[in-house]
Amino acid sequence: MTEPTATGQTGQADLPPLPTLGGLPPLPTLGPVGRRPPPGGARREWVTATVEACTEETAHARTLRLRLPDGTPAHTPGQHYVVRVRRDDGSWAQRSYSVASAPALPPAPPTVDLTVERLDDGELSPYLHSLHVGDRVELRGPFGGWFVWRGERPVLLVGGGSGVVPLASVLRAWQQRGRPGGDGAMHLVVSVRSPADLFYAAELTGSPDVTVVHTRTAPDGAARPPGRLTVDDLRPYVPAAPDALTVYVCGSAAFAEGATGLVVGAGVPASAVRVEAFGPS
Amino acid sequence: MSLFSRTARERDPRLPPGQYDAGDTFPVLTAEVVPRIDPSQWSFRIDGLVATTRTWTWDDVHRLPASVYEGDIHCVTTWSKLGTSFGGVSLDTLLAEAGPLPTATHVVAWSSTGYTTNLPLEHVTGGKAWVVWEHEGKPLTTPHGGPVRLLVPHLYFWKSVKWVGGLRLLDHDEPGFWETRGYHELGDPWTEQRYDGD
Repeated sequence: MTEPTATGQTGQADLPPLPTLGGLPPLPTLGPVGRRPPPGGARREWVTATVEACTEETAHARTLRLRLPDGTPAHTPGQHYVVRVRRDDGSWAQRSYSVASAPALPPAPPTVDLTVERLDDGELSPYLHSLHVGDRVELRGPFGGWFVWRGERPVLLVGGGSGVVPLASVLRAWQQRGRPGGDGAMHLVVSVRSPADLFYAAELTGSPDVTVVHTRTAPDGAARPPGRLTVDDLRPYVPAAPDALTVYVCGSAAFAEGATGLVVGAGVPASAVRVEAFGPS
Repeated sequence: MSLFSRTARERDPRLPPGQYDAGDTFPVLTAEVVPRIDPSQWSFRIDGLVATTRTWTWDDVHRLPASVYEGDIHCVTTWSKLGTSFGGVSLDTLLAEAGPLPTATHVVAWSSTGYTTNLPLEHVTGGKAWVVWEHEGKPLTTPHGGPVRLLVPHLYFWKSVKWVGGLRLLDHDEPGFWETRGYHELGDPWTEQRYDGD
């Protein structure tokens, strides 16, 4: 890992800008543009992993710890893997799952934690919930070069429900490195319906680096009444000079649209916000 | 181990390998803050290697011959939406007004958000690409790229730039936002060109 730069685009400062043609105005950009094949080779091949542990996070979500082949490079926090399973008609079902764990740094064996929410009408998630320790899974990755943390700080992480998964990887990686920058250099705000819906609850509850917002049911004695995420929930973690901040927002499309609106409303430039949103509109 | 198909019928031949049928849903994937663009403020510019740089307003594009795409779309995250439709104008119509120079080989399509994607010129000409503002007969909603997005339905949908602002014609390939972040240069769903090197 390299150290962060002032722009938050660690390791990309040496890339040339998009060339302009004959005095044309530069096109808008979300960041430096350059060809960056992933380290270790251009193509990520399918590999077989072994389920090393299963942890129930909530009534609907479990974490699979997968042991990858020796020599598999560690992921960058925020990245995802693609899991595939063959259907009985011979076709493949594939879905992407974000990594929840911090990178497994050598000499630790290469593993990733994938947290899978079971969707009742889902195809892969019920199958992944049926796996046991020792079962094998085919997967490919890691992928993703935008919603990733390469050492930027300060950072605000905003997650809704299962959107906390890639943010947990970022937070854990920062903690793994000894919390560079100290208090306030990274903070996670996670929004859940009720305490029973919080992933990694034992780890996140009470952490000085985490704020849990409950939208429907708050725990007994909570100072904050249940309710949707507001700008007041985020403002304590937006520095006076918000230009330096990088914000990562992950959740459903509706959550992400609401949360990004709050972040921008708190004074953060839209260009400092990275979003990973998916789901029905 | 394998998954049992949930229905007895054959796999729909309209589904490329590795894709599933999203049915009536139309998932939204976003990488950046969703912009609010008033149609009266929107414009579309074609510049670069063209005889004439052209800019069209919302009213301008509505005066052009309407064109509808009816068919399927495919997202790299493995959902496909089958039998859908989009309405707008063929990119051929717009390019004809700008006049691509013989040296032009590729385009960069861009959004006002800063999102960009690269496309060989031959993949956006000859009835393969549109600039659209309707989906299934209704105005295209903001989360889906409204008021106006690019539509290149024969490639994975990250090529169909949301909130599109223009095209720049180049004499070389210039990888865009996802293409410089691990995704494939072209993105043909039928050969599963999802990631770098596929």
